[in-house]
Amino acid sequence: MAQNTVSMKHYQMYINGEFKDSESGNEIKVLNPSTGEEISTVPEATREEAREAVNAAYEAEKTWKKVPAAKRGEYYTLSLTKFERIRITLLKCSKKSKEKSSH
Amino acid sequence: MLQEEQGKIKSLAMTEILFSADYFDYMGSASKTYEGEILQSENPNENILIAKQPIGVAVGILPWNFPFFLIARKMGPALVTGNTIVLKPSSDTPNLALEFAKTVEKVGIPKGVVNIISGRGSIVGDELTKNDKVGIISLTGATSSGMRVMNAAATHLAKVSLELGGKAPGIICSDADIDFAVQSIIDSRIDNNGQICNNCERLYVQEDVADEVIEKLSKKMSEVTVGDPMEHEDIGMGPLINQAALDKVSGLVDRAVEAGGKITAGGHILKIKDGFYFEPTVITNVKQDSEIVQNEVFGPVLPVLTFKTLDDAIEMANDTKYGLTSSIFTQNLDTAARAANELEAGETYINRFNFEAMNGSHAGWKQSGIGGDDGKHGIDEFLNTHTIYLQGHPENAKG
Repeated sequence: MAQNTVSMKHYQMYINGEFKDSESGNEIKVLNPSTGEEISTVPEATREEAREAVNAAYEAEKTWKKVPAAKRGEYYTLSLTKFERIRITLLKCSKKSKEKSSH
Repeated sequence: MLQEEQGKIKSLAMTEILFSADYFDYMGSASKTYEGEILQSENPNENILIAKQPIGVAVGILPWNFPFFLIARKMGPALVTGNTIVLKPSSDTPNLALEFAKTVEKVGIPKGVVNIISGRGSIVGDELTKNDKVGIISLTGATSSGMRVMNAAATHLAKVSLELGGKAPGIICSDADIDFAVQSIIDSRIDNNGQICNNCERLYVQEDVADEVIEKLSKKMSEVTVGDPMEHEDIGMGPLINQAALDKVSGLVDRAVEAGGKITAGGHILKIKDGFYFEPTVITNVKQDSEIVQNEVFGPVLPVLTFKTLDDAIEMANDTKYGLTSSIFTQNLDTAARAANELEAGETYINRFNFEAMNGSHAGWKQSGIGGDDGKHGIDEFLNTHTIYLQGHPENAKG
């Protein structure tokens, strides 16, 4: 596999509001299917970490279900300005990675 | 990022991201419109209400073919209906999902409501599907994955919502607008480099137009440009997702040729960098019961068969273990109506290429799934009914 000269990206998991790597230290390598180059690594979570994610969702559900539906929907809609920013960030993000990898 | 990890052409990558943002908008507004029911009671002074309440913890297992849109498709309806969610992106395409977690935090969604975890299906997927705190498992993936998930869910009777593989038939009748039909079928076959569950996977052409269709189809498929989508903005098609996918597609084509299949376009692996490219391929002289007509290819390969009557076409189209989507090209209303009523599939596209609407219902029949996504039915997947018998004292109803 060709070695990518661009510095390799690493992404973390998001469990219970925290960004983290796996305690196992294991990682999964991600390839760009267009070139076969390795582009990033991500954590390879353990069974315990999967359980931790379910527990976090289970605890959060106790209060989340009591939030009125319209208010839950506001996270997508009323904060449209925020959402527009995200949309623009994503577009920029995909453009940037395109520029980066095409030299 | 989406192009980089998945190999999409630029226009489709943009479509995926904008469609996903619109999907979140749509699901946000759905928070104000999903409704329960009020029923008539047999008893005096009683109201019967059916409330819709969240199931609890949802698990979303995501495929690699639309790594961003599927976040919206699972998280969108799960959260507005009051569920929390654990999302597991595919190991082939986890980058954008994990990057998106930063957005979840920025928007201020409370901690624990959305969790995104990367790992192996055999470990993380196994735990997420067998954990008895999980109430619903929504998977988009292969039929074999659906069977594994359903088995795991059976250990604690979690609800499953499975959107699985397909073998979508396309039917071109002799009264169709042939040029339009051919182009639509090509778009339906090579979209996302041939890797969408509702892609047209096999084509049935009425005998008297078969030569014309095969000639035009083969010419246009041969003309589709293939290459690195991040290097060439206007390329027609990019790579398959990984080496295993490439091996699978080329194996299916090789065996079809050995069995007598005739290649009229493409047919080979393409060496471009160290990527996983396969030529847009048309193959004729294949049998209805052959592997390439019965099994999902999930690549840019289209087997073509012919038919005499509509009865034959519908019979062959339905002769499959799958039932996700289907399409027919005709200008005859009776033919279209019969296809709509008799094709065994969750979707039939009439004179149109295969791509679903967010307010429709994307739900397969047979081994293409159970339940499904999108629209009000997709929202209902994440809800329990709670029937409330609200009875005042019967005596107080008198008078």
